[in-house]
Amino acid sequence: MTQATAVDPVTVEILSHRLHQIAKEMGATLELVGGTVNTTQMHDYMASLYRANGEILATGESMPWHVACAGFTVKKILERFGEDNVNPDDVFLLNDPYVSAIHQSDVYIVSPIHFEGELVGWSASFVHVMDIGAMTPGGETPAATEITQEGLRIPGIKLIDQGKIREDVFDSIINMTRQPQMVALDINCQIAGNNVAKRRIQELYARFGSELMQAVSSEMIKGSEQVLRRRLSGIPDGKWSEVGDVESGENHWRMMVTLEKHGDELLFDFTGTGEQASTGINLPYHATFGCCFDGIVSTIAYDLPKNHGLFKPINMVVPEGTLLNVTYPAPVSLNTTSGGAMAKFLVHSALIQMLSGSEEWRHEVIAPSLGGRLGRTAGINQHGVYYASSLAQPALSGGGAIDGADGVDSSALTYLIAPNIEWMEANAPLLFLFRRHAQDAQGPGKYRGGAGAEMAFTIYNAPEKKLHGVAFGVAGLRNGGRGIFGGYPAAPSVLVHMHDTDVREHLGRNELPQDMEELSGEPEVLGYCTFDLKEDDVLYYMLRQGGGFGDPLDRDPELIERDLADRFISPEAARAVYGAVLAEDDPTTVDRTATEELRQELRATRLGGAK
Amino acid sequence: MSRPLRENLVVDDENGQSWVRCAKCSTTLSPVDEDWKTGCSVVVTAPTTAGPHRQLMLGKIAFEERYCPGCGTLVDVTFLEV
Ligand SMILES: [Zn+2]
Repeated sequence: MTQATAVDPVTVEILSHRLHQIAKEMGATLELVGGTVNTTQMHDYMASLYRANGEILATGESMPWHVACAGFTVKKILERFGEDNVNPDDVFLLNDPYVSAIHQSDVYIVSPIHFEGELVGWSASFVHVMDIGAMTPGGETPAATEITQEGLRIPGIKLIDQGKIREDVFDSIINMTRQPQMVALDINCQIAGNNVAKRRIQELYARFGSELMQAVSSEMIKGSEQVLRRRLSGIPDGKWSEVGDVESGENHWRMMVTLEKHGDELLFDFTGTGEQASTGINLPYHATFGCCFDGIVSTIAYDLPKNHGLFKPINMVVPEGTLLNVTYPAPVSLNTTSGGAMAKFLVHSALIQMLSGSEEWRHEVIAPSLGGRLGRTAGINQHGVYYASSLAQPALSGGGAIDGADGVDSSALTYLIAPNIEWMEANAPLLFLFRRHAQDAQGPGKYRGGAGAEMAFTIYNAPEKKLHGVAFGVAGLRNGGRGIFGGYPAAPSVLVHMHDTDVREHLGRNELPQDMEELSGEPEVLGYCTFDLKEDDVLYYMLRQGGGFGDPLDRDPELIERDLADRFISPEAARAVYGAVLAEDDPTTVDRTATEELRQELRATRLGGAK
Repeated sequence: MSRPLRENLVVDDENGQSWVRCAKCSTTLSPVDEDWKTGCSVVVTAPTTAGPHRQLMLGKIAFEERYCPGCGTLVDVTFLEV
């Protein structure tokens, strides 16, 4: 060994696990104390632990780019207040995207952790709070042309001073939102999570001492960095580019990344990305860095402890004033689910190209996804109370296929969970007509993309007989899963506003329509917009589906039979897309011999039409 | 010597030169240092080739499909704006 280790590896491993459990307990606490759709039904939150200087120490099951940006937030709080003004039992709040946040709705609460008077670390969390006082309820504001229209923006404030909550400050913040009580609940559950983590860390320090805990923290970070660098060194060097457009209607905004790998260092160069937009799809610099971190964490470092060591090989170039390094006062409120989704997709796709060239890694490559649509409804609910709530469904997205396995069905976003429909209907004046796996919407392939959900709902018992809607998330028809190595892309994720349907007549006959074809009315495919959902309207929602891997004509007939039984594919698609001939006497069984003959014919037909 | 490049493609080393070939029928697509896509047969298809739920894309976006010219194995699908 070239370097003396201050602490033995067994101790490092045991205490590392303990720290990760604390981060998880922090999230569990946040959820138990919380009560809003984002915290309890969807898990749109993050809870992690940091070192005294803001370096990431241990993360729970959290969105990686928020893990990164909460660390930057700790650094910014230290800069603003100075360590002398960071006292035991203080709590700070920050949500300014022009400092270290991503968009204002994602509010960071950071709590210093002291032991025997010394600052030894931080617990930090974010929740997408229920409202932030933007032009549009819930935060995402399609019409905003500058950040001042996107809600309150706090560059760092002391919310709790040495254990004493500053009620004047707290009340001022929540009163600037449409749902003060709900936002208060969101902030309070973050404080509760942070407090539990702080107490647990202090217990660990009391038991093992500051010196050992600091040594373990350093070893954890060093360990992740060393393994990542070793893995990178084993992959051929090269340069890979990806380009994509964020779309909404006629608008296209170009983003681009070139990834260069030399030895154990990565450079993500976003030169070529378009100028910042006057629609809130822009990302601040630190959020773009978070996208690179996300890419590493979800590919080559998926199984490593997610800490600051994974930051170290990442280098980044992003020209200022572009969509991915925005300057004041451009808007950002749509960014997490539009420009951010595209940036993550490009980073992920470039890394896939890099890994595909490695004998060791190419089997780990997963078909990437650009993300899908999201929505929100707001108005007076059946209890006579104003509400604004996410549709909260993206956990039910389908995942990309991988060499040897289909994409996961309806659980592509592992850090989110699917909301209970009864909960949704009890808290908002909505009636869901159906929610199920979409059939034939995944990207076909030798291994198919994972199936995501499709659903439809109408308003129900809404005192004002209408609700306000917001459509955001990745728009355009090229969103969702992309195919790799001959696999097809998935069907697009869409929000379709069906105007003036006969849904009430169906309900009057005690019928719940199970297919959009059963409903009359005028469909409108939504971009980034707000809209009014009236009593006779229905909103149809297709989540993102997974992209396929390899030629569908190579798919194992047994897997096709399973998909037919599970209704993931129709008999028509089994034949047309997969070349499967179904037995005449049993449409759930694939006739192997006839299928092989049909597949030979289809391959010949392909070449017959080729240039 | 033959080594896998990606699904259905291999790199064959022969007399000091390397080629990208189809893993199924050994048809040569290109020298290894050139873009193997140039050696593929190309067909532009409607997005509904991949199944229903793609009708909204008709007339706006198509698929550019690349096959091995020897055996018709599909090796690449990309979007094409129409
Ligand atoms: Zn071939």
